[in-house]
Amino acid sequence: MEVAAKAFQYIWENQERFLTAVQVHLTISVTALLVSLLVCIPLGIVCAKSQKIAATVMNSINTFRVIPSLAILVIILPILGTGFVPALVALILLACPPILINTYLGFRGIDPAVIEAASGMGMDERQILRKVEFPLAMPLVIAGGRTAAVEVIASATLAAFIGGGGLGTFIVNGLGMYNFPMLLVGAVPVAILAILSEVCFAGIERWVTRYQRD
Amino acid sequence: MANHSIVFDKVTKRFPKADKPSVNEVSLQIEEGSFVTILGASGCGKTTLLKMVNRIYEPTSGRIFVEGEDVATVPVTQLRRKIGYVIQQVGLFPHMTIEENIATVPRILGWDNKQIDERIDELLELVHLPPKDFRKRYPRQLSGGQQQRVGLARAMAGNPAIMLMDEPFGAIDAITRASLQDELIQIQRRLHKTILFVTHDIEEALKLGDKIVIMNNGEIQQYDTPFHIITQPANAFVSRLVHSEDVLKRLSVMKAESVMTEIEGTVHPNEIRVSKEENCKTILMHILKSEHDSVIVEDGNQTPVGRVTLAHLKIHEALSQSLSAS
Repeated sequence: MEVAAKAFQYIWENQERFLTAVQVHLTISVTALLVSLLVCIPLGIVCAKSQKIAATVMNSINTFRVIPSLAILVIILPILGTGFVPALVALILLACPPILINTYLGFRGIDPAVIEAASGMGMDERQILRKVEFPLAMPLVIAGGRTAAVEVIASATLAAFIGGGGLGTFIVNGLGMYNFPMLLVGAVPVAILAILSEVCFAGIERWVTRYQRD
Repeated sequence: MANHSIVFDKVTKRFPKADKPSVNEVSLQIEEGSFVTILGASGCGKTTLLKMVNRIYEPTSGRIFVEGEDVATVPVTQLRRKIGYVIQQVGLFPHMTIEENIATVPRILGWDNKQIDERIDELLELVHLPPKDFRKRYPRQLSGGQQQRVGLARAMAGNPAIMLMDEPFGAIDAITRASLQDELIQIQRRLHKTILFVTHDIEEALKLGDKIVIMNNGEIQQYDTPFHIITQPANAFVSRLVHSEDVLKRLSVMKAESVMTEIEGTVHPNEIRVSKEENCKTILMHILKSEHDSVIVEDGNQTPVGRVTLAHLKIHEALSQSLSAS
């Protein structure tokens, strides 16, 4: 209890510092997630439509995935230096695989008969993509986003190691100074943010799959 | 050519890497408003032939005309919007309600909402699904037979003059299939579409088709009415396929109206009554079970128009047998 009280006291005394850290954490996470979604959803669709591209892309992604988050941050360091941008790049690299793979699977998993019926009725490719494929692939795409979001929010903590700022700063400092309350100031809000994003995505997922329930 | 809805002119389809063509130099003319079944074993080219009409497949050579227009010259989406298309797997959109599914083509065609709304009710009534119970449901809440009814309604939504059906009842249980076949016949009597219907089920082909195309090895073996297919098979293949030596099979393709004679003498009150469209196999069953050696044939208004006796059936059966022997 004493530790929690001390942590609260710290936040109370350093409100501005704390809020800035939360803001940076959120900015870096949301930006990384948005960029990954914008890049990986179209790429995933292209992969789903072309086996050749899919083989190349999926193999490299799977190889890439075995590298741990911290290692990515450390690899980025000598290339892009320290600060917000390299941290962002590292997080984007982390967020891409789940979104890409899920988008690919989502589009590949659509019953070919549904597509045949759609094109047989005279829908053009754009109409099929917009009205049939997208809604049907959406549950899996969202699930990919959900995984990516939690991973990004958690890994954004590590951004502090390369000077990216955010809530990780408290954790790094807390660990360094054996200051347990300060460590909590970073860790608890990160956990709360991760849970909030889970809840948000679960809601969206429920909404896009409402046709699967009675 | 005016009353030929679909014309195949020396159409060949050779798939890449296949050593022989799936469809080989097929020429065929489908009359407007006729129900034509395409019968053959799997791999005989029947589905390929069908799918070249709406350009799911493009022919390797030859031309296909739909309502006088060479399909290769019409933009593919435009062509397909005026041809109803029903497939065995149905392919309903699982994320859309039944009404949204049916509204697909009318929406693409830009109908107004009120018109679409009325059309949905009309079509659901036509396929015997009460609109108020079914409009808002999702495909997965329906049985296989109900889904194919919706598939049929959806294909007819844009009011196409031509329907292409690729084994639509192939995955449906026998009891439901029989009632769907009967309903399709009823619908066709009212709407007079030009229907091309692919099947590998001989009974189905005989029951539904005004005419039957029998295919083997990518070539048409015979294109004729069910009666002629049974009584005068063009070659050994057709004869074997349809078991034309089977007496009951021959009776099953003869209609009451083609066999009946005028009513002489009194109509007995408990003489069984059948419709003009009834087949002679069923009539024979009736006679075997009845105390009379005859049945009374009625028209659509239940007015007696003729009588079929056991003697008639014998004569016609002997006649058709001699036809097939010659």
